[in-house]
Amino acid sequence: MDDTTCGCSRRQAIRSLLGGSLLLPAILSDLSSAGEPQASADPLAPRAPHFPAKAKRVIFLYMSGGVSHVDSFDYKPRLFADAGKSVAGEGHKKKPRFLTRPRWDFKPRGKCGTEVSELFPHIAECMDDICLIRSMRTDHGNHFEATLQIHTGSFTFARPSIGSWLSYGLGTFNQNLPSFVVLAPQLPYAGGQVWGSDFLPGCHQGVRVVPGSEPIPNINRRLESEALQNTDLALLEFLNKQHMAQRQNDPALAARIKSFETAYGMQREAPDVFDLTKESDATLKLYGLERGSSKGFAWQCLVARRMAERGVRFIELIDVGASNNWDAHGDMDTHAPLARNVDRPVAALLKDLKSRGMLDETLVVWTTEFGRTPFCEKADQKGREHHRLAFSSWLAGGGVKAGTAYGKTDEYGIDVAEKGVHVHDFHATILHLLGLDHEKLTYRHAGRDFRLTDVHGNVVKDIVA
Amino acid sequence: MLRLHPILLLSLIAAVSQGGEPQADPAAHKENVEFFEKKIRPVLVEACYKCHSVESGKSKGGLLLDSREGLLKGGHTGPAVVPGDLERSLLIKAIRYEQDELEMPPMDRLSAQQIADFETWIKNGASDPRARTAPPPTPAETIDFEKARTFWSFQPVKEPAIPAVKDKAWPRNPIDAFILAKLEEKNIRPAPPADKRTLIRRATFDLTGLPPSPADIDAFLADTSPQAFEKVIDRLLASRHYGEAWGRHWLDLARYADTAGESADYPIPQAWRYRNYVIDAFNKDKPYDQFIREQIAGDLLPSTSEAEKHERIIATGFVASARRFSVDPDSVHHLTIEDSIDTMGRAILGLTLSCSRCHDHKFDPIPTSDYYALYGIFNSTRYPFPGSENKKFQRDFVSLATAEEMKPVLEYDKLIDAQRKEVERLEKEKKAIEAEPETGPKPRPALPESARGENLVSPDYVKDFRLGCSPDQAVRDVVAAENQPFTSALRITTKKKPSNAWEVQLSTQTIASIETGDVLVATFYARVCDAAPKTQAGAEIIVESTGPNYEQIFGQALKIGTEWTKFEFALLARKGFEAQKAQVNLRLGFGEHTIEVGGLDVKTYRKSLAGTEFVKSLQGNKKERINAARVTLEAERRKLEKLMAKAPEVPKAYALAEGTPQNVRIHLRGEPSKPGEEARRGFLQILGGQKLPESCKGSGRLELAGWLTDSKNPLTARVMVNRIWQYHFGKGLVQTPSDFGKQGRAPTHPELLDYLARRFVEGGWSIKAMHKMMMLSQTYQLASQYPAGEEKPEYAVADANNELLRKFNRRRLDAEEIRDALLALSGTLDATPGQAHPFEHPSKWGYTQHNQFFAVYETKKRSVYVMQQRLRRHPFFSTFDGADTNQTTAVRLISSTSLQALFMMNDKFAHEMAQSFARRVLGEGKDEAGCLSRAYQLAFGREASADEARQISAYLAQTRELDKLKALPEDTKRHAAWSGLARVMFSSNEFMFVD
Repeated sequence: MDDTTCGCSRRQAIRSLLGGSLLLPAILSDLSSAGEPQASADPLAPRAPHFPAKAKRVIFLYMSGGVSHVDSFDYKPRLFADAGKSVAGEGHKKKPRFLTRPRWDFKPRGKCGTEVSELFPHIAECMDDICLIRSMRTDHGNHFEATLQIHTGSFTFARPSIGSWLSYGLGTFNQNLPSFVVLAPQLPYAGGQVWGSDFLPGCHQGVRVVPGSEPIPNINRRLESEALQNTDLALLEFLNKQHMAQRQNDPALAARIKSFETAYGMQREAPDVFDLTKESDATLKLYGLERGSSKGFAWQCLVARRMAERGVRFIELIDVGASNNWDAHGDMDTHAPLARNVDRPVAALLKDLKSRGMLDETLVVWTTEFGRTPFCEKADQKGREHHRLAFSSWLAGGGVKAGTAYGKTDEYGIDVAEKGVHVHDFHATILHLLGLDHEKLTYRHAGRDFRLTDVHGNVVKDIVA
Repeated sequence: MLRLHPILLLSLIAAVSQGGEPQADPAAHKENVEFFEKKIRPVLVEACYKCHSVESGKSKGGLLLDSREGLLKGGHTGPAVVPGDLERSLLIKAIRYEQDELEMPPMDRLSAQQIADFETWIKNGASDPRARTAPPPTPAETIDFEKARTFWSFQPVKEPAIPAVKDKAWPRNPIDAFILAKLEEKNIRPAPPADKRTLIRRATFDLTGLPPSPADIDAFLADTSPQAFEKVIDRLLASRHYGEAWGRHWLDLARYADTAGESADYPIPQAWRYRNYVIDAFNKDKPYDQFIREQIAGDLLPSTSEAEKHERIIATGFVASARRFSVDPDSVHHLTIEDSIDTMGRAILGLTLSCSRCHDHKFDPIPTSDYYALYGIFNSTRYPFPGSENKKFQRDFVSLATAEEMKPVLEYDKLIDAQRKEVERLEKEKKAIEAEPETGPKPRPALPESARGENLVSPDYVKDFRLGCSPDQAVRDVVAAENQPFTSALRITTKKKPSNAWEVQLSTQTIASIETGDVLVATFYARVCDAAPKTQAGAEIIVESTGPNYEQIFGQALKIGTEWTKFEFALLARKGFEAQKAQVNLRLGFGEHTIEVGGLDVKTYRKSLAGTEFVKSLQGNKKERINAARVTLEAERRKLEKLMAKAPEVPKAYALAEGTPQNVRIHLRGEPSKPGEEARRGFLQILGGQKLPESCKGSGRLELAGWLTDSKNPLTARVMVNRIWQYHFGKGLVQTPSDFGKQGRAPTHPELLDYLARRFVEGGWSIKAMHKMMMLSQTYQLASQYPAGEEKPEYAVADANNELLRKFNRRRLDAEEIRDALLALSGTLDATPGQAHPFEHPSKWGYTQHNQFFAVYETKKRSVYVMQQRLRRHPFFSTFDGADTNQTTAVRLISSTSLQALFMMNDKFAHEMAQSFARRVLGEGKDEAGCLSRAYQLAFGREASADEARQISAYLAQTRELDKLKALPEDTKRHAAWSGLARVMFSSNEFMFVD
């Protein structure tokens, strides 16, 4: 597929600028001829998956800090009933702790009847499109490590991010935009390692996008005059083509010439991605975004949809960052404003993708780095601590079984009881949904073949439609 | 009468059943077997056999659960089942999920009922009729070293014969004979020599990372002697810029960074010394074996001067700068050691040693025991601690001061140490209070009237008034106070919603002579004037001495209501409070309100209350005491920080020292919590397997340094000459330069590799001699392409990737070269060596994973001196394929991305460089032709062709007439047009690539 919607190519731009005029006819003929470098030389050219799959792209919604599963997606009636009771002697390894009542009530939602709490009233409306996983599990109970693991599979050493792996495995559709974009107004735990390509070629690393006047580094034309830049690029084209002609069309030289064309395309196309003025009032209302605002998760979600439309392969949205996030040690009530910030926009994104017929081929992933303890040290404690043994994530669109809930935790949500999904399994499944075999998507580095899932991971076949 | 103790009896039974003997009671045994068949076997089959049975072919952790024998024998960590003994049965621990690393089955935990069944079964003797079905798979501990030694890279370095070639005129030195022989085998005619302009540009970037100056080019063109190129090489090798370029290659391998890489990425202000050591070592042509020895064990080598001693200490930064992990790097130091071993293995030996951390290497002859033989050496070494979220202070850095310089420092260190101990003591004290059982508030006994002392402070008298916010956000008035024991009060009204609580601070006049044991009673009245506060207001009283001492005496936080309330604080001057004069400070915290305060009064009681119940009660309840302890602790911490901030600067190195020498036990499956057999410290078996002598008193690093550089070690020299070759020619003879093992690529020219390794060692490990040898070869001086039509199509078939070096490999400049060349051409390069970075003073560091350290320090110095971080890479180097700061980088993967193009098109730096270059060129050329000639000479090392000159002339003319420029003054217009040309030239492939 090709959903390039850029109105004006570099070639056309030069033509319209120079319009058969005085300067550089040589370039025009060169550019107009099929002088494109071979696709194989371009590491970002679209590549076929290992096997056919529905999902073509991913929108990865990452909630930083650890969302409480028992207050959101994992309904535990016994936790309500037994709140205040000590869980000592339950075989759990921690010291005696007091079960803590979830702060929000649950009820069944949609036709599927999956219980969701009132923390996410809008997402709850979309449960018929969502495949909820209630048996997620990770290896480390610290933010840094768990954040690194949910992104790279590794909780110690830096490794390529899942977005980089997908960019490496599948390339991208729109050369005028990066293959892997990270909408992150604030820095997450572990900093840029979260979207780093590490040993994979640099073109696969995530490009961080921030709201504001320069969302992508150097995307704004510094020269005041577009005409001047076009003249510059025309001369550059001339010098480069002449240089290359004397060097037997070395593909490395051609690839770099191409990079200026795509940069030019990006410079033209990116502002359009971020230009929300053409979005209807109804759409803005759906997302809960004020016209002209680039604040909050609503902006991130709407821009994500626009990027999805334009063929970006992997779009990650980081909700808040390394501070003032879901890390509710002090008071679970701090979940409320955070949920308000993401709830409507996330639901809007699902509805919007669906109404545009894009949900089928867009895999929407919602996750956090770990859950929060269903119990506390003191009976009257208001917050919850880090909990790596169990948490909830969900998938939507992109060939997952909609309207289902997979896996179970025990009666209090302390531990996985059935059908555990480790982060490695989660990754293997995401790759699978994109048509990639996680055991075959490898890269030779430091003497061995590396994988996103290291030596682990099982595809959770039961959630694939 | 003999009575058997019941426990003894039980253990006798256990001993019997452990021995596999039939149990005492056959009926019970039968019942137990039935129980096993019904409740236990199905669970084992379902949940465990997948990873622990002969049938599955897996015995993870060395454990088989498909026979009684397997259960009793257990895995690496011990018996899975001890009949009758739940505590010692690891199986029970595992299924109960009692230990983090021992949770089985790993994902789907057994139900409570199933766990109970297992407990019953084991308690009843763990009857199990299953016999061993087949011998368990033997662990593959057997590496055939004899066979392994036949692999090419483990073979001794040979002295190969220089091959005979048909074209005897072609080779300039033996390197060429090796290259030409292979080419002739394939009937390939090499490309002609490069022209002199190409050659000097190639050599200059290659050796110095900078473009040649027009004067250098002219001199080389004018020199027609046969030694002309050799002179160029000598000049470049003598340039200080040589070390800056080639030192950078080594820093890539050493995963150099100025931060630690743990969760908050703590800065290491001393790291630069190692960076400069590397640069200097290359400039001095330090023999490579010595270079390695110093980096592994420089602190242990003898030295002839103080300067040399320091240099060698600094050298160990190679190991010291291993990555740190987590919020508490001490707790995962084994990962830092892994990074040390991995970096040493890949950079120096070309071996991927870290594969052997968890299991024997799957491809190379490196058993786990070898990994831990090395591990023991690094584990016996003291690493410097750079600070982290949990432990914010540097520790164990190595001093570089002379003994004389150290005297005052050591004195001062004592102060710091004492203060640090005090902080630690208070931390413990606070923890102890926190751990005390909760008790309810005790009623406070009344102040004995008889003990009332002198009133030291006049009512209503407030000496000082401060708001904890900017003054324009609140107003203060003095208002009358009716029906109160005081006449006037201070009214404070806030005007804006505070981000935090407001804080108003009222100080009394100085109170003379407070001594330890004195009791102060402070009273005041306060009320909130407006409606019930949304934010609760609270008050606390502290005493501040006017001298350097600051002492918190017990106070308590109180809530202020809307009615006038009297507050009475009793304060005890605790031990250590020695101020002669003090002030009482009243601090009120409140939200968006108007409050009134009045009648502040302080009385002191000189020792008259000592030992009374009243004083004892001032100890307060738990909450108050925790609060008091916290305030004291914070004050002492601030004192410590102040002390540290004023500490005399001692030059220190991020370097190694000896630790406690000891062997370690193998970590089974790489987990430090699972010790296996002890591994005696020593070297890799495949490379000689030397062990530390029993008499060795040190860590073993000194010996390791010797083993690594032993001339019999076939890898060290091979790996390094291959790297030098790679940086000159674009590809190594071994194209996996950090992996000379089975998973790596075999050398394209094995004889040449050995020839070079031999010459390298013979020549005293001189890197500069290798440069000369390689660069003086015909091979290095070949053109990067054939004249039109001379490169036969079959060449590309026989040698698709130019591995036979029929022509020179064209390459793009690396990140450092791009930035440095832009700076150099624009005339703005600060060519002096860099030193320390302008980090904030360590006393101000409070970095956490929530608030990581991040900075970009602007500099016009060469790129090797730019501050490089681990958690967030420097944006420029990250964009242009710079080195990975987290692990050793052997090859820079060069990419051409649109973000790079955008940088050249739109980045401020690129534009500034172009503007400076334009200014320079316009200043140096007479007319347009002269300027263009200068620009081309500087940037491309040649003159513009007539065609280019024509196009550029048209460009300059057209640019000046564009709307935005048309109206500008002539000079500005001219400069703008030439800046445009400069941008285009800097963006061009001709600038970015070296032929």
